[in-house]
Amino acid sequence: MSIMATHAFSMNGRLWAELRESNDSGSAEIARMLHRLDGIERFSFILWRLPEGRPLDQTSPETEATEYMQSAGSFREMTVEVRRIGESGPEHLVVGRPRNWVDDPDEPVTITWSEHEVVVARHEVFTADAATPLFAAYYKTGSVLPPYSLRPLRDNEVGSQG
Amino acid sequence: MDRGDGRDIYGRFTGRGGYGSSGEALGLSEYERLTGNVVIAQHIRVTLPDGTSRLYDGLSPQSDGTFEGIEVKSGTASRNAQQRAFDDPVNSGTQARGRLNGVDIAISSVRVIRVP
Repeated sequence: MSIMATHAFSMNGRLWAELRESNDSGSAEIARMLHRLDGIERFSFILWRLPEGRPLDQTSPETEATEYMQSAGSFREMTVEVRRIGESGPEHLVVGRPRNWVDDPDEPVTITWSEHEVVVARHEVFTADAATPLFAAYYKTGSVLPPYSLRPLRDNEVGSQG
Repeated sequence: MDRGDGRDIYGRFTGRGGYGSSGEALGLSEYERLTGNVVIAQHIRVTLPDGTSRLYDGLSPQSDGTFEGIEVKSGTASRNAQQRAFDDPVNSGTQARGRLNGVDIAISSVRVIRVP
């Protein structure tokens, strides 16, 4: 059985490692990394599908990892974003859970990570447990599937370059 | 590179921190600190059944008693053809053997990590 890595992940946006999974779900190591986020020493996680047939050391994530899923914050409260490149150019999107008006009052939540913060809606806040199946599905399909919602990141939250 | 808002030009979260200098030892320690994967920073010669051998930058114990070979690459460095020719069968199920502090060990997978 080949266990060649198909994905790489980054912690804190600097160290990149091949994602090592013994099954197809990709969820065990993803879950472990998401649970390690404390918002201070370990504040972000990026999942990137490696180019076909190229191991991590033959890539340059700094310039090639332009489509990805990422989270920032802590295992208790994190934001999850996806960047993808379509026919009209790059899209940077914030992921949300199905909105539940009883459990998710319409009030903003500030997610802090490292020395930064971002404000999202309550239904866009994930725990590590809640984010794991989202990342696992992205690992398997490269997409964010219903019932999750997506909204464009606001201009003052991020710039846009292809 | 951080744009000053904790993201790089592609919107990826970067935050503060980083490496004052690059290198294998720092890469291994950062890998252990960030991922929680235990790393033994020893260069151990391991051998495939066909007799070819290789050194890894570090070893990480696995739950099944085998070890994962850790190869650190910084900057634009990549593995050479001999290293890849060794790693591919290991990652496909052929265990490499070596001795760690006098104990026979098996390497059952290889993981590449990149640091700036």
